[in-house]
Amino acid sequence: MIVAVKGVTKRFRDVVALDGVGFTLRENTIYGLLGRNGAGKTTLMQILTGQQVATAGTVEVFGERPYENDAVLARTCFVREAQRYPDDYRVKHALRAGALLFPHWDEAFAQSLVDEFRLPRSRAIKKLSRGMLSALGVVIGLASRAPLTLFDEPYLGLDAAARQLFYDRLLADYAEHPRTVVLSTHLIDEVADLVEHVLVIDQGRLIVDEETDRLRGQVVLATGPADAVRAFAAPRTVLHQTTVGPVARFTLRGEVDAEARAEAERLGVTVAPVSLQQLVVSLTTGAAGSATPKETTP
Amino acid sequence: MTSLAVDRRATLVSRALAVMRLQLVTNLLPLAIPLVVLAGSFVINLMVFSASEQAQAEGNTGGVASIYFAQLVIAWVSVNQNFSFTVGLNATRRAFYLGSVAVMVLQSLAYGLVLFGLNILERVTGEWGIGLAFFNPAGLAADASPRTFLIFTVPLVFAAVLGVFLGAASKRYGTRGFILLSVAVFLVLGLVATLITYVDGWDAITGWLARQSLRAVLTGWLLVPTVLAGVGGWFVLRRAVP
Repeated sequence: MIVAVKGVTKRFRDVVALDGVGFTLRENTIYGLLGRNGAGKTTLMQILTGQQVATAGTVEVFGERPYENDAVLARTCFVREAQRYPDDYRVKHALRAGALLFPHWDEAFAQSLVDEFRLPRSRAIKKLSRGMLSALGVVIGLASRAPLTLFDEPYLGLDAAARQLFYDRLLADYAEHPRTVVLSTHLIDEVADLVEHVLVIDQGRLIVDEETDRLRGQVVLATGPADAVRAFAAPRTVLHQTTVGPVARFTLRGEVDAEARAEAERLGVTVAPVSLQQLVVSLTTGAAGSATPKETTP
Repeated sequence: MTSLAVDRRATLVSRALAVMRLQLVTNLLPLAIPLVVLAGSFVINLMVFSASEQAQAEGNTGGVASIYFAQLVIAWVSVNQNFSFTVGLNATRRAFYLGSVAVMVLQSLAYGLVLFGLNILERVTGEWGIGLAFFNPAGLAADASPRTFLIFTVPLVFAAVLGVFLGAASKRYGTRGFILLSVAVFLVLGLVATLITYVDGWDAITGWLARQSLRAVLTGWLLVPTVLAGVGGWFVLRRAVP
């Protein structure tokens, strides 16, 4: 366990950005930190890296408080979507800075990534396109080889090929140099095969903390005659439901074992797995202020 | 846990050193800007003095002040530019602050040496042959003593540390907060001045100043606001968010 978060709350004046969040991160695992805009993902990562201080609660990274902790932060890399660079920096300067700041930096890896992402080494960073800027962040994050690496929506403006390259290089390098990676993203289906564990934050609260595979099995889409679906849904949590005429589609949370499948078949209900993205969408759809997932639709 | 504590001290030093090297990563030009500004000021003074006999008769110029302003601005801009990047990539604020102040102080020492050397050269060349006492402001630096070196260097350190403080304040409070803060500082200073007038305190203050030599102010008393700005800058920056 390299990160332990207990009861973390963060308030900005009258806004509660994080509300009693608690979880742990294991060594050498890729985590997906999912949630809608403004859910509190960036704030959480800032607190993990000591850039913000929690209003309440405790955070331990590598067994210590991260705030102003050189020993901890030297082993941590946080690449933000809005990472800022000094005005006079060129791409090569940012790489040199990375080499200075990260003890595990791999220069050869950084150079090969620069080539693969087709980054112009001598171009001023403020003249890079949005995609190139993201690519530079990705290069720094990967080449840092920091035992705890956090990417905050690292793909903005990256085209599909570059995103695939990022996922491929991350997986390949992770296999050779295991570390803990936290990936905050909206493109959930793209990273569904990449992340081993999912954390979902909604309106400042942690609503899912689960292995990706187990989570997939826990949420299903049940379709069939409305009465039958309702009967099948009775012992489970309904995350989302739509009824069109006599046919109902319910998104349900709860283990579906062989016995349940047999019951579904008897009732004439089709049970299908939902994608990770659908799952997160159904868990986080709801008006501001309603902490519980939406249970009904008109 | 003693080994961990030892480890951490080493890490703070190594991180501060990394921050120092990081500020030299682009090229040395930003650090040379105060020298370039000073050279410009010097050339203009040379031209004015060669053209004007009146200037030669007076012999004095405040042109050397340009390097102090440049030093302040460079320190300010450097903190402003580097903080978000360096601390964003997880240097601690402490390492960043130590590294930044160290670079600026070392730079001030180097500039002090340059000014000291030029001061000697000025005397050797008979004030550049035209009576231009450029590197002898207000006649304060008339010999090649350590005191002359301090006269040049201590105000440079002050300008640098004040610049770091201003950079820290503009990072911590943002542009609007910084402007509000400046207004507040001026209001407070104005209030203090009014109070001094009210209690007829100016005579005492000017009297005290008159009893100190300008040299003592520049080499000794200036260290007080320098230390205040240095310590204050840290307290401002330690809660700034990149």
